[in-house]
Amino acid sequence: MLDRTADNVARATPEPLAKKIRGISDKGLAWLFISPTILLLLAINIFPLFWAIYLSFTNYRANRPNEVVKNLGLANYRRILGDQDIWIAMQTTAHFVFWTILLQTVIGFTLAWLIDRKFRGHAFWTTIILVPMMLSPAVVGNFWRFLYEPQIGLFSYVVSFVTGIPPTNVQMLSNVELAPWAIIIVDTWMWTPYVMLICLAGLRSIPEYIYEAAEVDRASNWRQFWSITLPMALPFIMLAVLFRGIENFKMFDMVNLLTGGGPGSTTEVASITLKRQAFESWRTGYSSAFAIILFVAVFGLANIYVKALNKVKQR
Amino acid sequence: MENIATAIIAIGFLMLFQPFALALYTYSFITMLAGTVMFIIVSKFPE
Repeated sequence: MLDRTADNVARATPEPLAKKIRGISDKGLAWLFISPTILLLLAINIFPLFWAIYLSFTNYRANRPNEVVKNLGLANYRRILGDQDIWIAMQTTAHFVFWTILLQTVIGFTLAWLIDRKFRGHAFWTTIILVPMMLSPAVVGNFWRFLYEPQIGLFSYVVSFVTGIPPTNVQMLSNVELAPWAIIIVDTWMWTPYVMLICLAGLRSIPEYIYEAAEVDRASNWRQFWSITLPMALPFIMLAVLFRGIENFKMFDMVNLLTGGGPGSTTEVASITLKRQAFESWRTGYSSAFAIILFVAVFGLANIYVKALNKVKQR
Repeated sequence: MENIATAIIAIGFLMLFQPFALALYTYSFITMLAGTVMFIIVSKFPE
């Protein structure tokens, strides 16, 4: 049946085309198959990047497409790099990235280490721990808004129960000092399982015989952890930090849903400023320049990081 | 050379996010860009 279908397809193929396909080398055929993917990649990744670089040198506004576009040279870059508000947004971003990565790495690795003990029901707890990561950021943002509500929020009541402060005084999202931490808590809650999963893969890849040899040498558990577990899981930890670092530099959805950059501009991370410039002020050229600055920062950091990762792997 | 490029990127990165001097922030992008371009070029050199 299948042979007959293939035969019919072969007969139905026009003779010139069939000859052409038969004449293609293996390499040519491989290029033929991957070319749609390459074209798609060029269309949705590479072209927008070069277009954004071009726009960053102009005064283009997306809400005025018919206006004459003027070349401003480096003026957009000069303005951004001399703007005190954007400088503060960069510091807010750095604060947010530093604390989320630190907390997620420490908690994620600890959880992975505990799960790797293979206690009774560890598979069940692994699944439970992974749940936050599977939720949509929009859902997480909305329900944490309810949890942080001073009147009805569970979080405020738990803090009130532990500290004795009245729940109405625990205003996580409207207090200038607490709002950045509110976002850090939510991001840590959501993405620690991701770090845990990568660390768990690292811990499971350590061969058992190394620990057995250490036992023979009478190495203590503490010594085994510092000399075997941590160095061998380090490339995986670094990989998790790289992925989370890149993601958190672009962090937008959670901040937008929880605080929208407020109160004032205390949680206005770079991506929120970028969105305001691009879609509220409609300064497309200016925001393109800002996006390029962020891109170079993340790209440069990723280069250093990959180099460090390769060094650790070679050890 | 690769180590120098890495150091320049790291310095540029710290300049971009430091809270101490606006002047350092102003020159952070050009430092990072120079380091990144240098890194891309020198990482292609045979070891």
